[in-house]
Amino acid sequence: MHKFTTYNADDKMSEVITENFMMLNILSRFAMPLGTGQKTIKQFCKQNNVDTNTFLQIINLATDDSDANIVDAELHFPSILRFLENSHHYFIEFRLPMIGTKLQNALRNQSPVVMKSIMDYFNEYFREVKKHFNYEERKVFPYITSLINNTPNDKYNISIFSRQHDHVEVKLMELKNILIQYYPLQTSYELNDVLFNIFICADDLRLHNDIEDRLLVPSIKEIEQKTLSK
Amino acid sequence: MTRKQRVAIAEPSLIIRMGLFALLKRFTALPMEIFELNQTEHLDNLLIRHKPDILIINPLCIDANHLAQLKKNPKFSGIKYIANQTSMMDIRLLKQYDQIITLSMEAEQIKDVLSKLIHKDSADSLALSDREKDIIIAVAEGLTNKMIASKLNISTNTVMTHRKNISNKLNIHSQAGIILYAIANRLIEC
Repeated sequence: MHKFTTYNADDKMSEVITENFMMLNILSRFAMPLGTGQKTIKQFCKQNNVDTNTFLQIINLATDDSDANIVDAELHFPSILRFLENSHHYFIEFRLPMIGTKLQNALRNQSPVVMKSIMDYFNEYFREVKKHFNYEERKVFPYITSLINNTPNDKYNISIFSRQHDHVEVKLMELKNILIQYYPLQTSYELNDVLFNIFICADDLRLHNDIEDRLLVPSIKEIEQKTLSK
Repeated sequence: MTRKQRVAIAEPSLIIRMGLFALLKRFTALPMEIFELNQTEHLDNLLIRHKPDILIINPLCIDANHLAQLKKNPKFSGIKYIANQTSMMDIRLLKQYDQIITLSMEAEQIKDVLSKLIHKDSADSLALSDREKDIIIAVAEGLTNKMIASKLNISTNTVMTHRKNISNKLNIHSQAGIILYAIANRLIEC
């Protein structure tokens, strides 16, 4: 798969957003406002106290369809950890509950059994995602913080995480596929809206995983090796 | 109706990869969706993500043990492997693959290799057998493989094989998903 665009620090921030509207999520996870004016990525990041390199690597990952590890500059770990925590918050507090509500609403004319089984599936999925994120916040992020502060916890290493890091979007995709392939539900504005939301959310979760697998894990591995060889 | 087969090309050489990609694109009569994997370091993850039906891989990129593991792993069941042989190779290694293509082959020969694999798949239809429906019902009722085996008087291994085939046919991999399927198709009471 080919890399379509690579942004650099002197590209205009407004273009990043207009060329790919999903970048709005990335801005909000860095707590950046709109009103980019004619500012470049570098200028706008600086104005908002965001590390330009980290920002660039994330947006370039988002437009890159390949699967390579693309760490090409040092990451600012506090920024990326804050970014990931903000993403967790977004999925758990906003996007997934919204999908749940919309799903329930779209299914309101179905038989109680159909409604219940689909909602059970979704709720179980939601619990799994929460557990997954919770583990990262409890275990992985503190480990990374201790590592960059030179007080590593020697009982843990990032390979433990990368080995058991499952793809949280897979089950959501499965739900979407089952609805599309096997449920002869009448299409409606509400149902389409849920499906659109699920498509977007699954893509977004995949990007979230990619950031962890392709940016965070390789960078942490490098630091671990340096620390070990000291 | 035949589902499009997802064909992944895992080949580190840009020239070979793009060449193969361009060639496969010309086989418009074969129902394929072709994509490239430009690195094979995290092959397992890539396979989970892209779910290819056919993986064309340079045997130099994957050691024999890894391939044997992939073939055993239920997560990857149903994937067919084509070796893209670019150099001299031990024939025993190549035996692990379902098919082999080589750099010297003509377009027609490569097309034949692919069409053999693709048509093999559509021949065993994607419809569920009655036995598979029994298994789905039992899974949806929450029975374990062992319980299903004794209920249907078959071995646990047979149950597992059926479950693998069901997953491949329906593209559903979780128990919760099987329940949803069973309800949608009124296999269990609503």
